[in-house]
Amino acid sequence: MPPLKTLNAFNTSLEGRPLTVIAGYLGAGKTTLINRMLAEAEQPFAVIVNDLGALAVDEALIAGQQGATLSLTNGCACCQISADLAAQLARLRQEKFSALVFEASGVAKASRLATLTSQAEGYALAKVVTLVDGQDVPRLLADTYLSPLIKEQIAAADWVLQTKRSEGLHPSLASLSTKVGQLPSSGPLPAALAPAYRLDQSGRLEAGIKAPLFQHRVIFPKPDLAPGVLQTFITDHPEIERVKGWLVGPTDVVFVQATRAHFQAQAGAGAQGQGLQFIWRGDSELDFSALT
Amino acid sequence: MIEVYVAKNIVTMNPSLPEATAIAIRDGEILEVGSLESLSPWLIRDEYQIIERFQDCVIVPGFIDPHLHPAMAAVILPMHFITAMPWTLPWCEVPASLTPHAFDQEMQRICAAVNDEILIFWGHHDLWHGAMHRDRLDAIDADRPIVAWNRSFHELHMNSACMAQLGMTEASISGRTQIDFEKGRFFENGLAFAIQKLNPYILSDTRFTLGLERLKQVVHAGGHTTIGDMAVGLFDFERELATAVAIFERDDTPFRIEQVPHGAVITHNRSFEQTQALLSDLSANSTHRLNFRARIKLFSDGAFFSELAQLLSPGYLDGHTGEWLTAPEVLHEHILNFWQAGYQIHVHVTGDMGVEVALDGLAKAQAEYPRLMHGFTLEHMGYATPEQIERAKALGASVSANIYYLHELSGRYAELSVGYERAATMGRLKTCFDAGITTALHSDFTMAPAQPLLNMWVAVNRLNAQGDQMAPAECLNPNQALAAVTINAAKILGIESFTGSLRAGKRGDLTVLSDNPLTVDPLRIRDIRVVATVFEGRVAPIENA
Ligand SMILES: [Zn+2]
Ligand SMILES: [Zn+2]
Repeated sequence: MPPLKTLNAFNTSLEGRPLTVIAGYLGAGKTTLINRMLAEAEQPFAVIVNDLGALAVDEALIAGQQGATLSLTNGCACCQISADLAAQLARLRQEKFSALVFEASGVAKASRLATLTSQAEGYALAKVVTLVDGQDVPRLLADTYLSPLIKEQIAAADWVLQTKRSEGLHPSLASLSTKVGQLPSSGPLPAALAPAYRLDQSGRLEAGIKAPLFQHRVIFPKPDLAPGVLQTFITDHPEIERVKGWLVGPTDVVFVQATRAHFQAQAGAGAQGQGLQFIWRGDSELDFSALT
Repeated sequence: MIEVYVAKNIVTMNPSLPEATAIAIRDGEILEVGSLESLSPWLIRDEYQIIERFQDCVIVPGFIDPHLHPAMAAVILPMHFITAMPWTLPWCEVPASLTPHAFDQEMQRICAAVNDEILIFWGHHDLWHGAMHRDRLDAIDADRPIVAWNRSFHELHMNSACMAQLGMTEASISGRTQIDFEKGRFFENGLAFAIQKLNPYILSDTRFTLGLERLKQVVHAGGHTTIGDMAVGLFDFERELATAVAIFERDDTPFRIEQVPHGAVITHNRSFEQTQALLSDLSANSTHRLNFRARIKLFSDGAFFSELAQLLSPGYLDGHTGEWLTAPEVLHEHILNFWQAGYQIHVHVTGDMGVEVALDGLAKAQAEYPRLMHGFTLEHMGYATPEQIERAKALGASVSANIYYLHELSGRYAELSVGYERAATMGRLKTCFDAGITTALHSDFTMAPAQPLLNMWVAVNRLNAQGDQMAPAECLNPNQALAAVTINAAKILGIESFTGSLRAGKRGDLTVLSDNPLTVDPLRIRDIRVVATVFEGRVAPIENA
């Protein structure tokens, strides 16, 4: 495998903050990667998510106020007049942050994204990192509707990273590109992915867009707490991004999973209550007394 | 009071009584379509008035364009048109400018007449108007910012004053592709850069409002009494809702707008339950002219004009591939969700692979939860195979087609894009009619002029811009073409119970024409004038008609 170039090294013809495009089909692990980058980042960076067209899932975790969401859903020029990527980039330019990461929609062509994002003033030329699900890749490459897209996302990338497969690079992937690496499923990210975001603390920017600061806590709700009460609690606290865990009644246990977009409660037969985990945004405390 | 309109001929699109000479309307509702004699049982029982101003005209059901985009039109219509083809716009007559000199003269004339902050001209085309250049625009006026936008919308030029006003310097532009600083030229991706600088101006409230007011005139002049906004939220959901009510929900608006929300926008960051709650809220809060119903717009493959339609083998001549606007599996999930909730689903499909994915989704939905009369509609349908059309019929799908593609693009696409066979058979509409599919025409304005008679003319004659007839076996007859802009278009929007044809009980929506599109020489259908419309019993004459 050739050595991986750091993204900084690409920062050549234009002055500006590094712009990294994370491409890859649905389920390739784009959101997970960005969350890991956020968790590791020591310097604020901004995230734009283009998940329009995807189903509302965990994007809520990273979109929020930090990310701007944009639409690239209409192909003709007239639609570029709308609040498109270029406009979002221009708006964000006013803010202070060290780098920008753009999560492409699963069906975006990598080459188009690179050209489009490269038009933005104040950013370095965009570099495209394509993620590929190493388990799913044979199916995707055999799918009439998807294989041209997947091949393009691989071919046009500056760097391809395999996810979700631990037994080495999938042979069909290795044959498609020489720029393929493996994204380790845990531990620190490859240095090449985030050097720009790891400057010393003195460089930390105060104003403008910050990396989202999340807090989490496990609480043990009082017995018989109705799911509806929990749901109201979540609605009343817009900073809560995710809740997962168990509500324990006298005879049954209810498993709850919630994001800002979803609230799901289902009977968890035989399960033991192991508490309820909250993840919320910001650095202030949450008052859980209504639940415990 | 009953109002009775008499005409040379009334084409009802009601197959049981296809022709008539008088129509009686009371409180906006049609009482009867027939003759003065046949109407007398009504007339002896109530006060009435006979209206003779259209007695030499032909009345057809009010035209319906089930798919256009008011918000997008609002951005373009405030621009000054200078074009090679003459345009009849309700607020001005645009002459044909066929030479570079004529183009410059027209720029000068408009420059002297208006005092826009930034002058934007639309319609420049190299073939007629010669190469555009920053210096050429500087020569028109060196002090005022000027933009010359290309006919295709994919390219524009600016003069020095404009670049200065927008803060563009050689340094801020260098290194970007598809921008030529010297020439003041911005194209494709470079265009996005220019637009983003122009946005505060072209999207300003005053201009946007002017654009919508103009759209209103365009829609009326085309003879429409109903249009479909086939992707509310394409541009800015909240703003579109608010401005639509302010500008269109007024007594002087002679048409209704059937609003279909943009599926990706409306479901974004919402659970399906939340989406549904929002949509039923919107439906419940519909006003008289602006209506949300259980309808949704979804997207399959890329834009037709940009050659991003997804094609089944053998694909494009140059080997490039199209684009998905929605991942197929996500589209299928959306289809299934809305299908089970009883929605009428509209899917934007341009290429035959896009059609295939949409039909796969429909087939899955039918297998899981069979529905009849569901109104699932293939929107645009540039390329589709005969076998797909049969499958669409079997699954109960409808078709709303942009037939103007054939006129504008088939000549060029035969040579440069997809080869002759596919180019000639784009808009396979006769096959759709023969299969018994509900088939309508739309303009997708501003993708094509909002003129149903022009679209009928294309569908009937299949002549492209070069004058060649493409796949004559797919020509519609005039009756089919008229159905495609009236009753069938009403079915596409799910409003055929109250408009789309002329019969007792429907609303009094009429379009008054100078001639009969069913009997006139088919080549002259596009020359028929729209004299007036009647919207729910109220006459709205068309000026200069
Ligand atoms: Zn469309
Ligand atoms: Zn459209």
